[in-house]
Amino acid sequence: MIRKIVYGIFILIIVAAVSMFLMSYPFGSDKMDVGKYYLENTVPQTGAANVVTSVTLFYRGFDTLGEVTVLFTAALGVSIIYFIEDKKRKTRIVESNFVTKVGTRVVFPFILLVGAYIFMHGHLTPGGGFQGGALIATGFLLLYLAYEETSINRAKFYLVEGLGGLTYVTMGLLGYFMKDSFLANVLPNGQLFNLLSGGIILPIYIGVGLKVGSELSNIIDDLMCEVKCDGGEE
Amino acid sequence: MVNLGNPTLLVVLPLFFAFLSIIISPFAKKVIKFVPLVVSAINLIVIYFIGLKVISGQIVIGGTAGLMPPYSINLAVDKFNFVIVLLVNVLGFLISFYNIFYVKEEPADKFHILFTLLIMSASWISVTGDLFNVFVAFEVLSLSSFGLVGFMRNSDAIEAGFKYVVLGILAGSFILLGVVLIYAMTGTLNMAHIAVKLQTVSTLQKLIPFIFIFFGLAVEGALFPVNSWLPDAHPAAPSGVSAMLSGIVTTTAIYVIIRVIVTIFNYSAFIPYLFIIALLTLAFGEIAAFYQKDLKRMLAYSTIGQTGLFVLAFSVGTEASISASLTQMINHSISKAILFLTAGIMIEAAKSRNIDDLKGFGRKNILTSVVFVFAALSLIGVPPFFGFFTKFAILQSLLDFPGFLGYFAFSLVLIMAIVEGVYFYRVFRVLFAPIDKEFEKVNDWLVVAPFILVLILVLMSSKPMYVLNFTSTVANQLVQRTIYLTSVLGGMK
Amino acid sequence: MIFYVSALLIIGIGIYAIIIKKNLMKIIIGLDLIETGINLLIVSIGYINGKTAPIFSKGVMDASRMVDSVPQALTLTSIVIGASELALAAAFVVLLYRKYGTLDVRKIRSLRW
Repeated sequence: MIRKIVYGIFILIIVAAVSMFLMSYPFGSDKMDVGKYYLENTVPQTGAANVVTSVTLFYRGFDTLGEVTVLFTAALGVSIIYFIEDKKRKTRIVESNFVTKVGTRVVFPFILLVGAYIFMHGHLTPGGGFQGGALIATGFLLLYLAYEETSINRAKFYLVEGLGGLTYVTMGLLGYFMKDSFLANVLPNGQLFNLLSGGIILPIYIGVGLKVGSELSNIIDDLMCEVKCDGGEE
Repeated sequence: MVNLGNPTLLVVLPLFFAFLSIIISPFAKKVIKFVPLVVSAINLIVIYFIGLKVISGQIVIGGTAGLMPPYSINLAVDKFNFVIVLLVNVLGFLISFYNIFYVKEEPADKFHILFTLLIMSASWISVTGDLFNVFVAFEVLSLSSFGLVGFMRNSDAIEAGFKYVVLGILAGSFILLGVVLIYAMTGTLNMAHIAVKLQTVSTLQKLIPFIFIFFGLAVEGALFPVNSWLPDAHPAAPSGVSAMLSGIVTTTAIYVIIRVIVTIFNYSAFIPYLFIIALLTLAFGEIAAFYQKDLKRMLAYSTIGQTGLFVLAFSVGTEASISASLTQMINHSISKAILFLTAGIMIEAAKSRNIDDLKGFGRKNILTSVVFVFAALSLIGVPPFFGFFTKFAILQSLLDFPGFLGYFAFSLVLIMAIVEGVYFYRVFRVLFAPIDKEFEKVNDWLVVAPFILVLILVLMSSKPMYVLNFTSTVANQLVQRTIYLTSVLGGMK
Repeated sequence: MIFYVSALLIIGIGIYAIIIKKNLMKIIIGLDLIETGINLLIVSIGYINGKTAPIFSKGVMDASRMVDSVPQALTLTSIVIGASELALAAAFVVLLYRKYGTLDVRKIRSLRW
């Protein structure tokens, strides 16, 4: 009981400290500094209509490279921890019901399509590579849930994952070699509101979307092996 | 001719190789062993070109997106960064060589890719000039070390890994909270720009974001009271990884704390509290190490104690003390890496981590044991090894701290040096005792990496004043913030 | 204002869950709550009264009527990082369950803190 009170006071101190700090920066006040520069200069410098995308991928593109790396590292870590020497399929499989099976067949291509739409229009509408990739992985999850025998080809997914990452790094290195600054804008900006606009944002987001989709599908494949493979329970 | 002296290459080229190796990993597993070696070698070439400019006093800035900071992310290397990133890559190179022969369990190819990412993220967090970038690089560092700690998948590794994961995620969240509060305060995320804006803010208001960032970094940096994960996690990892974690990752976290205190916040009011935290860390680490029977656990507690020592030196606040602290950081990184690598060899041979089971190892494997003894003597601070000069410099600077605390710290450091001597002597005695069991044969190539590191240590011990003079110029440049600020913000309207 | 209060409340509940709860999955959910609270706090710091989303479209072409875009980009990064950390934490929990058969922190030997 004493422990709970002490910890409760500790939490209260943290919350009180942060709220006291936030009193001097009230909700809704204008705190922008570099934000103003980004809002005014997005269209001339990148030609993208979505300012958040241009901040994520262009002005702060180095951070997004780190984020892509974080996902990559987490997927590697999960595959190390779940590693089982030889994976055997269980003989007893739980069948899912008829509606799931047929429904998945109908819906799966559309899920992939919506995911691809989201990451291709990242510079025009809210969305982008990460959101689209997560949708694609959801499609594969559905496939696993409906058909127990599904088993994706890991080598091909590693290929897509690596190529997506290489796209990002290569576009950045192109900027480095041509303008001596990593991730400089080397593709033409195009017409505002066109699909083919936005400089380097479009190719990078396509790469990121495919990468995230295949990475999350790999994680799902590892997790599913927990249930289906024979070495899964010791 | 393309510019090879840009710090962005330190991050981008390893990432290029990491993505390439995941593509070829289903086909060519044997090749991936060499990827961390190649990557750190390339990094060392880039560091050489950066070093040519840094030695002359310039600050090397690498921008991104073709824009000047603060409207884009920039990386900035001054002399202090340069020393840290050089340490990271030299140790990374030699430990990768060790790992080629050490790692035998599956999935070894993923281990090597994760190790590449560990080297890359440690280099990244040492060269960045943007606060949110610090958070992202810290997350890559944490996540790759989570995977590496849990690599052996035995009960030890999984329990230690889970404790580390919970505290590590909490640390990352606290850093993010602190960075966000600073953004609310200043509207920008660039370190130099924040430093300029924070000059007009009161000390009390600066305290709250600073405390969050400090405690987040202190989890990774082995400071009291948030280092309870360390004595479980560092021993449970494979020995190459323990060497990297204890030797380098802890030091880079402390480097970021120093950068935040000196360059961004200019927070001399916090220094006395840092002094007390460092004293507690030193005492806790060394006393706990004294009671250990497991070799790697003893070395992990010794890391905690040594970290307390060099943070203690830093918190005196004078230029001489900062230089002494940096020299001790270098000494500790190299010596602790050697100790963990040789401990790995010994544990492979004896098939046990208990110190008593190593009886007589030294009589048959003389080279390995001599390397271990040299590194331990340098860590304790026995003359004529390099550690003696660093500890002497620290003791000298401690006398500058005003009041009773200075003398107390002085005597505590001396007593703890004696404690260190005792627990390492216990290991020496066991090593050279008469043999009573058979040891397994270990790969002879494993001893090459610690041997080269010991040669570097001996080289530094023969010319200690050279190193000490260099570190005092480093401390000089660190303390004069205006050079850093004007170099980075030079292009701003 | 309500956004600040609720973000801090969520963070507080998350810290409480990590410290007090004994079930491993609840500790992970506590970590998730802290991440969520911080993300909410980031986005609400970026809000400016009376302005709208930072996306140019045929109707909204005036940059001075838009909210700050940088916190939204930071939140994007933070959500992805949080999700991958939690995946790794859940992997550890599953392996712990395999080895010990229980999810209770008190029963697992060296996890007492």
